[in-house]
Amino acid sequence: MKISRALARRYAEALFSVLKPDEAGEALSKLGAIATAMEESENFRDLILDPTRNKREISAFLFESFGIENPKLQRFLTVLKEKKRLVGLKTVLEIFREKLNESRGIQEVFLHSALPLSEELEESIRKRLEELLKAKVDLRKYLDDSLILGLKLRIGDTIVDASFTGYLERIETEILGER
Amino acid sequence: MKISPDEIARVIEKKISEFELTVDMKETGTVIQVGDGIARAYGLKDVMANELVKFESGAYGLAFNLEEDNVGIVVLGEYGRIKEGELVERTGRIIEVPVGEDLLGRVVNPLGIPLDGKGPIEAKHYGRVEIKAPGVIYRQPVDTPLQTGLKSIDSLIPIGRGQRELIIGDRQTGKTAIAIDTIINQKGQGVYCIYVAIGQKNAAVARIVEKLREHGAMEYTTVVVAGASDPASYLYLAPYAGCAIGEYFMYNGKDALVVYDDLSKHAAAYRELSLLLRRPPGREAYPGDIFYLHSRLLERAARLSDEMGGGSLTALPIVETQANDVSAYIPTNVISITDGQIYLEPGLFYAGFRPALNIGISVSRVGGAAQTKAMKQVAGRLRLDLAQYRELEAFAQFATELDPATRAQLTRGERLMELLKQEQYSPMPFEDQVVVLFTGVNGYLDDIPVEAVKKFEKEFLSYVKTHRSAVLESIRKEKAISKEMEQELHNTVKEFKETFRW
Repeated sequence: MKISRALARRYAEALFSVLKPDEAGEALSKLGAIATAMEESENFRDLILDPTRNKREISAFLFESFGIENPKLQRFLTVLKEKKRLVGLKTVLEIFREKLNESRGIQEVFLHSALPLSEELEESIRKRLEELLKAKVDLRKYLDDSLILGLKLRIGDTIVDASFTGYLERIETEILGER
Repeated sequence: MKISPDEIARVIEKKISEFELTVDMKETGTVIQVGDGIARAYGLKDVMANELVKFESGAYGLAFNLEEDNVGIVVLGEYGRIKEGELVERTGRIIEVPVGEDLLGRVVNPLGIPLDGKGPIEAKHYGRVEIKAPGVIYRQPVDTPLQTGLKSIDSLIPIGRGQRELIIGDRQTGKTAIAIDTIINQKGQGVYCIYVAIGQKNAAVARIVEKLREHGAMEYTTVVVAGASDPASYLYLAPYAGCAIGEYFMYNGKDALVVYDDLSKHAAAYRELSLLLRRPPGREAYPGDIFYLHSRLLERAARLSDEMGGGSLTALPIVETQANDVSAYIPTNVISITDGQIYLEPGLFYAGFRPALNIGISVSRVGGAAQTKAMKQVAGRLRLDLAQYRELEAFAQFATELDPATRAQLTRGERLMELLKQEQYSPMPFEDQVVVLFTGVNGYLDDIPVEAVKKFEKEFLSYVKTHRSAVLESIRKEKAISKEMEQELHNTVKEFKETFRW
């Protein structure tokens, strides 16, 4: 079971407002590690979500094994566990990251390319994007040979498609005259 | 026009050889939940209400609910292949259907895809499914009749072109029959017809299409089908699609007639969608905007002003009642929207009075202005005689003890009621109706037994057609009964009665 984004947003906003700017990075990496572990190992997930176990013991176990010493983060995890919302930690962190990036003026851009890009090309893409978006760009690269040729950018909800696959799809739509 | 496969291959080859990289911008969202024909997506920030969206897996949807952190999408057709996490993109378009002459004689679904196996529709025009109804200054009053070919309706509850007349009644009372007869009667009248079947059994629709074809009515008719097995989104769209097809004719200065059969099922489909989208239920669990659902549809029926081409779109919505209850939610709504109603009763139907319309509570609020003068000349007295008959009807069983005047009124009423009966699939031209009703209101039937009225009607009509066709011709042309014609008619009836034996 997951939790809705509206619900996750409340936790993310609360966490964001208590943390000082220099603590945010630590929060992301350490809580992120828990979220990843939950996703990767079913046993771990079952263990920490098990409602029959003592909540305090679980919290203590998390603090120790992931080296969480910041009392704010400790309390945050305890609240999540008590409210039975640990299951949505990943969604909470996604929204937290978005908020953090927004406050730092960073825009995440997902760059899919058919072939590996040279460093110069990548740098020029980043520069041009920063000019256009008027923000620092956090470029995440993915190799995707289904594009055949060209690039595809995803900035928030907008997809900029300059790939051959996209071109073929447009021909298909044109010929079928889809309405 | 047909495209052959090698032509397509050539087009694609050309496109690829001239490949020039273009950039395409898309606004997207991610599906977070899907089921029961509804998908919820995160993202799609700038999506418009009712916009068409496309899923990565090929299906299309309508953005229905724009909420704080998600968009509720009604999936059109199959939703089985849509997965959680897949992308949905905006198309920037409102849903459109093919319209125009190419659709005549065709059976299509609410997206305009043919269902009759007669090949693709090469439509030159497309019409938006949801548009605003024409405003006040673009309209003019209803003044031309739309002949249904049914004596009882054309004389007592006349319908004008551009009017909205509700046909209401229980199941199995002949609602569809009236609509089909009306469509059949439009042959040669320059009225294009659209029959929208909502939530009906496919077998029933097939039967109707066959009947229309048999009577040569498919030449000017389009049938839009959203069957009982189609998803609720299709049922919701069907009347709007039918309306768009009719509007094309209206805006091109022609006359069109659209039958919505029936709006109670349409309302139920919309209720299903609304409840699945978690919109709050109201009375009878219908959502709050159920009135607007039907009012915006029926407002699109209009008679346009001459500057706009003078076209018209007449709407005949059908509503099914449960156990004669017209005070249920949907019937009261649609009654208040339309310009009158034709009320059908099972009691009358089983008593053999068909079409089974209750003349007492059926009304037409604007059609009177559209009635031809000839019809008005006979209908005025007909209405009066019938009203008096209804008042005295309860005393009919004491016939022998009544005074002669009352008995005469009862006799007249019984014959007129008999005269108003009409077989299905046998609409009558208006001049025939006038001539037949003329005999009734002038008392020529009073000395004929009730059982012989039908025979009289039939034989008299054929007599007039063979011996006095000029009378019919003159009524058809002048649309009125002149003094001389009236005299001529009186003489004709007298002449005929001398030869008539029952």
